[in-house]
Amino acid sequence: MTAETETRTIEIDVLRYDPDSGAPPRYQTYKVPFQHDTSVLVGLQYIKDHLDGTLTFRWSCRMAICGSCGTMINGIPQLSCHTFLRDYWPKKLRIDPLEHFPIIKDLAIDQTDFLNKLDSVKPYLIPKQDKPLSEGAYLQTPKQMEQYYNYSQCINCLLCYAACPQYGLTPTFTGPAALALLHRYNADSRDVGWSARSDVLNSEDGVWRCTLVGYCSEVCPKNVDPAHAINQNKVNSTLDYFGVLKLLSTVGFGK
Amino acid sequence: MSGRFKPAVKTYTRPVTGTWWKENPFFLVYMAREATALFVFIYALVLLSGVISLALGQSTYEAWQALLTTKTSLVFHLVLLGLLAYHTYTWFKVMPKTTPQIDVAPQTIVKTGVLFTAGLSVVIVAVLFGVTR
Ligand code: SF4
Ligand code: FES
Repeated sequence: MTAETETRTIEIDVLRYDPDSGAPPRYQTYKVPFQHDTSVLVGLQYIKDHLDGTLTFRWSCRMAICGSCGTMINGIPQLSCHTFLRDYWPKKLRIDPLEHFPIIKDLAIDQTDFLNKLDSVKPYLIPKQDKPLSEGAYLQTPKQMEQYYNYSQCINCLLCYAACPQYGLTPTFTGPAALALLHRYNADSRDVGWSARSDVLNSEDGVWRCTLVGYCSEVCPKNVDPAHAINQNKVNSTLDYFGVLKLLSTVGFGK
Repeated sequence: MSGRFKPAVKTYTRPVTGTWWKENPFFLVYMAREATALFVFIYALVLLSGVISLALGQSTYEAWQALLTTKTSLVFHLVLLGLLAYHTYTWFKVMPKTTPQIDVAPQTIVKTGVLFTAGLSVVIVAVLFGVTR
């Protein structure tokens, strides 16, 4: 067993893309010293600080909460701050920008497509009627909160999009995180926005584009389980199509 | 998708290759689920050929029955049975992803589904055996 303070060296291949030259991306290899507690992110920071200042990548919190450091590590979408170099040594490590997204520079991808999709699902509470602050908070029971809690844990890291082959093949697919967040609000007892979101949910690029590969839920660092959000809504979408949802709500079921 | 956020001006888009599913064992398992669906279709054709031969008259139907009892046919059916059983299992495996938000462990949902189907299959086989002998 290696001592926790011992310094070892690992080789990291990083995909580089320079928009100024416009040349196709290529791998560049760096030799990075690391200890037991060195994350892949800290490894990248070592490269930037000591070996090559031109390397571009995103990060902020260093503790799996901001969602900005997602990369492909040996082909698997992961948060680089949540992954450790010790688990790859003595083999080499390959780091690519998140799959399926256009590269802006090196490991920084363009999230615009996701931002617009997120926007399209109206990711905010749509209450039955607005009430003044003086009337206090909208209340709900712990049981009601359980219905959406895990979906509200999404940090928009986009690992699920990089994991989804359907998104790769058909980029118009609304995709895992946006649909999970759509469900997060639909499942909230304080929200009545179902019909405002139904166009996105029911469309071909909504839940029906999903073929239940399920890898999104595997890679999600926050156990959001987007595959569950999407697939339970295939049932809801079908009920909606046959008018059953409306019927149920008029007799007081659902919300 | 268009919207109020505008994409970066200059980017590089990596192509999706036709071999994406070979690059991750998770995708191989997914493809095995999708590919075994083909054998459900093939078995449906076997049953359909039986119905057609029945419609064509007694002698054709008897010939079809005789064909089923050949060694090749038995081996073929055994292989089909294996593949169909696997395909069925894959759908129970993803069943927890389709249920509403309930307080039951995913593994319990899978096990219940598989056990129920296995039990029902035994009952059906027993009944058919009793009826046809
Ligand atoms: S659902 Fe999970 S993997 Fe997808 S963006 Fe949210 S936190 Fe990341
Ligand atoms: S740096 Fe914030 S999630 Fe990794």
